[in-house]
Amino acid sequence: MASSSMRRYLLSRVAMTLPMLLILLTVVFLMLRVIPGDPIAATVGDRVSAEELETRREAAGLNDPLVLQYGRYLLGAVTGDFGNPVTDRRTTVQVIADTFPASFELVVVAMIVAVGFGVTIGAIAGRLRDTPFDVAGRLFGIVSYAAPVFWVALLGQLYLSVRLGWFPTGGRASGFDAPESITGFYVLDSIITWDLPALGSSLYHLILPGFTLGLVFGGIFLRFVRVNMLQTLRADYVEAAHARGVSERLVLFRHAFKNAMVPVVTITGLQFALLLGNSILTERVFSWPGLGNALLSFLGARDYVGVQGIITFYAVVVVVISLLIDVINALIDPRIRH
Amino acid sequence: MSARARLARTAAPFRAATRTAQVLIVIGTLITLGFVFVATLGPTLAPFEPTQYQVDPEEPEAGQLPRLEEPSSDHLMGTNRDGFDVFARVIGGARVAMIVVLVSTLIALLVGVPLGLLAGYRGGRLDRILVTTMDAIYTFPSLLLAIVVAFLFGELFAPGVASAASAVGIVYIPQYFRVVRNHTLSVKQEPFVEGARSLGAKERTVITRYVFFNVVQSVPVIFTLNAADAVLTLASLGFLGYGVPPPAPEWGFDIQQATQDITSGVWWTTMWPGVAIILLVTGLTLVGEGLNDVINPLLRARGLSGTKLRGAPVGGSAPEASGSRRGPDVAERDLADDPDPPGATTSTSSGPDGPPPAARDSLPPTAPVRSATAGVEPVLKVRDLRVGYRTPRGPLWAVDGVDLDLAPGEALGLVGESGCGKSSLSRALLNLMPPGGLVTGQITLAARGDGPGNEEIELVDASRRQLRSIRGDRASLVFQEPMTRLDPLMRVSTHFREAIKAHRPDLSSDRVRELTETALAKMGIPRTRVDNYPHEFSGGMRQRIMLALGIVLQPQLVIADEPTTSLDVIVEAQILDILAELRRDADVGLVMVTHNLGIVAETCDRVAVMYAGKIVEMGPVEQVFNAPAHPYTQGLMASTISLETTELHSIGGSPPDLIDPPGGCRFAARCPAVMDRCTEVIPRLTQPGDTPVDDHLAACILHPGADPADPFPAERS
Ligand code: SF4
Repeated sequence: MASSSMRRYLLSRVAMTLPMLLILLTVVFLMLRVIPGDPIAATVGDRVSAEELETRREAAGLNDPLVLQYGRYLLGAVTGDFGNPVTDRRTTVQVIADTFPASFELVVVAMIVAVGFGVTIGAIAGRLRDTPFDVAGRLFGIVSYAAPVFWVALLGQLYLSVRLGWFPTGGRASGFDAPESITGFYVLDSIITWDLPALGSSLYHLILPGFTLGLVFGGIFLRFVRVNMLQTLRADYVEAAHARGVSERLVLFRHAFKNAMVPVVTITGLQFALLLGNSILTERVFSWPGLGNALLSFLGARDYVGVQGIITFYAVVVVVISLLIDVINALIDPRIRH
Repeated sequence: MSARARLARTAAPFRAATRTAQVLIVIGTLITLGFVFVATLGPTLAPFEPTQYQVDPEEPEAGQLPRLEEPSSDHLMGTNRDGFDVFARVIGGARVAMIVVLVSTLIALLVGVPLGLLAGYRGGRLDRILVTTMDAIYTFPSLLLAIVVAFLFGELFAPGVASAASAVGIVYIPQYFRVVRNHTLSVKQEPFVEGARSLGAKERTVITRYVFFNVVQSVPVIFTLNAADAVLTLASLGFLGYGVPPPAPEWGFDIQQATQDITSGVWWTTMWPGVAIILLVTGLTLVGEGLNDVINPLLRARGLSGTKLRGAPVGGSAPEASGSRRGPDVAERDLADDPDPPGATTSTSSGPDGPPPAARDSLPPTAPVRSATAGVEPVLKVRDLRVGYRTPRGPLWAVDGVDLDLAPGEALGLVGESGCGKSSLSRALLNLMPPGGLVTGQITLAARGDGPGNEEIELVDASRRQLRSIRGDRASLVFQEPMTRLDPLMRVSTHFREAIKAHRPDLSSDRVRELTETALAKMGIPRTRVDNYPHEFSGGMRQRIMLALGIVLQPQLVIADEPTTSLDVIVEAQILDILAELRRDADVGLVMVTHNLGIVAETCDRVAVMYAGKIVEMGPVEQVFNAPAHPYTQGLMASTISLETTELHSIGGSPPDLIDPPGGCRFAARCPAVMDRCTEVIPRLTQPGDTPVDDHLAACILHPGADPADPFPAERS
């Protein structure tokens, strides 16, 4: 019974997601068409002859009617072809394959840090409402949210890497320690090949960027969890559980905390997207060879095709993640499945 | 309404907010105002121009500031590698940030509001498309969106404040869109819009006006929180080189410029812009969160949390006057626990214009209550019970000196208007208080047979552990609101397992299952549904589940708080039957809290009428209903046309303020029989002279003996 309602829920979620993806892609497509000139002219226009330009335009399909280009773009996005950047020999997909694992690893570590400290401190602060711990925790949450990601990263880099030498100043792994590339995820690759030095080096390089990025988002989780705890702690079912003589600890964890986590899971998808966006700042500071830096270099070269490809990929990722989070949510909360 | 009164009303929720919330809002506001001040006036105050580096060809040395100079009295925050004064840049950055925040909000409003109105008003496909688009924009990482838009606008027009502000503003469009759209949608269905149309008013005008007033309330929170976010986004754009282009002073860009400085030990160029961002964002967030705390009723504490209520009631009928028993002890124990100086929360009634407590209260210890249960050991014995909460205006004693006895198998109805203290009393009987609540007096639960854990126990000063072992096992509280009392994430069977295991940890799972199924089957919940979730049941079924949960461990005492409100008659009859059966078969003592006199007449042996925290009349149901002895009860009976159907109507006037209760009889202000003496003494429960039964009591000085000054109260018994 549960599985059939779950399946129905899943289908309806997917049905709701598709229009959103379509709209996102359309917006991305249109956005990069409003710029005067075209991608070829913008990047190499001043270096090649007019005929050369024309051939390249023709080859890139830029002379086709807009509708045709749009159709081709959508088809490509769905079939996993995000175009060929003008300034890079690789296809966009290759660029993504080379850089996305780095970003993803970073974001996952940051997410673990953010959720870990945000949820713990937030839940305790909510429980100890208006005590010094609560006030301190709350202020910490707000201040860590208020600190710009790149600023915290810079200071961390300066004090912990340069001054104290505890951490590397950047990069994914030291010189020869990078694992043999299979998936592109260093941590995963080094586990697959059981390359312990590579694993250690990859993790070691992840710590500082991951923490500085996660810290900032931990503040958001902290505030959110705290507020939710405040609400569930005074929920009727919590009082009722107390009235049944359920132990304080169980009431706290099984009733108040678990219910407080439902909306937290809901925002996790959004937070993940935000983290993915903000990782661009961390990547910049730590010269992290991730997707954000790839986007920045396409932007710098005014390579619209590259930009469009990467943005399209982000859009797909974001939509997929929000779908995943919905599914997780439905698994936790039986009410959603109906 | 005068301006002052309006201000007072606007400020009311602020004053009701917790102390911490108030302090945080004030700090946030100060910081924010400081930045606004600096942003508007700062540049004229700053010693240098933020871009004072152009070298005057005539006098090459004149305008040139030193490069990367440490903070000094000349340059408070030092200078950067362009030779700019960092202090001047930080101040200039505040202005840029403020302009961008304002312009971006304006853009978000200008786009979001009309689109929201349109979507909500037109509905249909247009609405769906717009909503999905906005959702899509909202889901997309905001920083990436801002970067791409800033890039586009930079290419299309030119990079600058306008491009940056548009990039920042686009991110917030969906939020304003959503608020406006939802309000428009909801107002469209309102009947008064129809009304306005029939009166010839333009529907659109009505809707716009209504939506405007509703949206305006939520805008401050959205705005401040968005402003905080906007400052961060702008700085991030600047850091990546897509923000406000140099030489305009912008914090993010300045930090980016300073990245190389750090490694050479120059900290001031990075530090100060960062500190400025943190301060401003913190200030804005504090204001936004504070406003949210104040506006959002969900976050308000029940009663007031924080410090515990101290001391025993003053005025009313203070325990010190009784000179005995538990009251003062409890007060002292609480004072000892609490590091804060006493008196802070109990000062209201000892103010200069209030009568001194002693004069208001010359009440001797309440005479022991004789109950219908003469000879039988009562299952529950309550003496001088008081329940207090902390409020912004001072302590509130919701229950103020109640004595009760309940025999095994007896049902006592507890009636009164809402706010009379009956719900507080029902929770207090299990000593179940929200933070900030206090119970004093004596609540004794009789022993249940022999064996460890079943001894007679005093609940007011029982340890948490003891209380926990009592609740749900020997004494159960069955709540009203069946829809919200079960944990939505937990199967019904899990609720049972949890409750049973809490008290009988050694029972096997099979046995637990068996107990669960039996208890539910008794309530007509089939075995097949035991593992369902609460939301899969109807309200009536949930109420029966709650009841089953309450009695699964065979308690001695069941307190049912409005157990049948919001249920249909059939379910109500079923539940009352079940309760009656419990009393008959298991000798359970039942306290039925309700404002439905019909239910009391039908199911209870005795009834206690509460008014303003005190029991004003108590006795056998027949006697009290047929020959009420207290003017309040008389009023109740008169206003109730038929006991079967009518609920308790209030009598003209309203109950007194319990934070500063009147001296004397609390019903005096509404009593048709009031005399001068009524406001001077507090009448005590005595047997009315003309009652035929022994255990009928009323607290009204119309009856001889109720006046505490009466020298011979005891002789009447
Ligand atoms: S004591 Fe006086 S005011 Fe109070 S109920 Fe009796 S007559 Fe009325």
